[in-house]
Amino acid sequence: MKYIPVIIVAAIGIVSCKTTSINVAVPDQFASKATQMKVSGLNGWQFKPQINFGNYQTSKVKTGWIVSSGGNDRNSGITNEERLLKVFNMSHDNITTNSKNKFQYSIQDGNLMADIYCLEKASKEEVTTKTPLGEFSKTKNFQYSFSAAILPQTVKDEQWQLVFYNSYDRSKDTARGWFDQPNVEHEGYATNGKQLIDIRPIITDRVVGKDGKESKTLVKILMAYELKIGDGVIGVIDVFNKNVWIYNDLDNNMKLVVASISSAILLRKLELSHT
Amino acid sequence: MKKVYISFLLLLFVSLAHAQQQRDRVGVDMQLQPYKVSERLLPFNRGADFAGYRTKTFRRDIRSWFSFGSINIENEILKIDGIPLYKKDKHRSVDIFSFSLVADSGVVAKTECRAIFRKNETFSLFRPKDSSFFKIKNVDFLQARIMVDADTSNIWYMAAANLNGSENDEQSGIIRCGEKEIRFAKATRMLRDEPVGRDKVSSLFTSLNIVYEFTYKDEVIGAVSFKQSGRKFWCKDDLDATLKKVMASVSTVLCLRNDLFY
Repeated sequence: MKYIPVIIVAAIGIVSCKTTSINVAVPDQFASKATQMKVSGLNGWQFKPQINFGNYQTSKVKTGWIVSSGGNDRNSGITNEERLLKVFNMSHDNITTNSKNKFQYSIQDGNLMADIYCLEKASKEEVTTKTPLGEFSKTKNFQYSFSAAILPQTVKDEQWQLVFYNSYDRSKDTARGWFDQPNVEHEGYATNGKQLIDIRPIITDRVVGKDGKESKTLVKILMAYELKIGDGVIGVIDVFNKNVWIYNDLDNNMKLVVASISSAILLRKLELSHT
Repeated sequence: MKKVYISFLLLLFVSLAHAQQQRDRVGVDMQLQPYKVSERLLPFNRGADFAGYRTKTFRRDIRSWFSFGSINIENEILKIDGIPLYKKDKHRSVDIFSFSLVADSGVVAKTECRAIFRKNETFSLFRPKDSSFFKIKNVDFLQARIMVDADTSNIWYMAAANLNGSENDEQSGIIRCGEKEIRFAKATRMLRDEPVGRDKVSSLFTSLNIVYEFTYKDEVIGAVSFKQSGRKFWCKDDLDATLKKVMASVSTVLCLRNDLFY
């Protein structure tokens, strides 16, 4: 509830950004040596989505239902205060909500192909107070994790494991003001046991307008994900405008891995917020 | 253009904090095998079943059913914003229980546990709570005694503090028998979601979990979920049998104990 003003302002900011057609500010040094590909197939709700960008195309994504469950997360008896409050139709509960989504598909560029299996899980713990005047809740913590197995079809290639998570804990949050952004941990990487690709979210207010001029948005928003090996950027996934950049000087197998990671991140459904 | 202008006006009255800071990476441990924990949490029928172990003869002392303290309705209503308006909060609870842990070979461990929670705080709207100001400390302590394989010469003793999260300190504990020592602490870890199986792609998946993580000689040997919902137990397959039984007993204590405060 505390973050409702931030959400409203952020939503207004995002809508205004989208209507004025802005793009994530990709550094010129990288953009000149990378290929930009527009992603199609993500708009609207589709039963079995199928996306393509550049010469990469996915099969129809096999996906199950998003399974959610929730319940009281407190293992104790009722206190005297709670017994008295129930007389006045008031209660104070600790509720945990879990959501899970699995999906799988394959991606190919005409020559090489990879199978991708993904699992998303989200868990949010809230303290919910119900009164005759209404229901109020406050998030104690939430955890979002995205895990994927990328299996290239070529015999000599090893499997890649993609790990990506967000985590928020109110007891460790230092944001106190109404419009302070909460401290959310973001982390992600993909590895085949030998190489490590770091996945870093780009939450920024610096954007490039239609006229090519760089400007600042009103709020900081998640614009893209950056893929790096060491200090070198090999890919950028623009989740705001649905674009993928892949560095040109990569071999085809690595490009397929980057395309697999990009498609997996774009096809996620659970975007759990701490609010 | 109009929307940009309106949002700009709104933002004149708003100040935003800076973006988040860099943090350490959450550990990923693929060596630990997950096991689902099935719990029975009815008032007169409490037990757990996981990793080939199950509880038997779970007994809770009648003193655990009662708590003592001043009744403060404001404690419940005004807790949501963390603003304490009540003057005094005095609360005392105990949780005393025992159980046996059974495997296919029979009874493998017997555990007795006692947890004490005492809270004596004076709150004011204009200063932070501090029970130590009047030299009165909150007590949030759990102790247990674990006898493995009916061996009375080697009894493991457990001590844990702040398991109810009443203070902003680490929730942790220690289990000791002679020179051997297992430690556990609340942590956030990426752990395997399903057991390893032949041709099972899903065994490569991991998910983020808040757990009590067990370490022995600075090596992670297991974990158990902190949250009740979707509870799991993780353990190394090649772990010493005695350590595994002790860890299973401690995990059962952590699963079946009462939350005396939240």
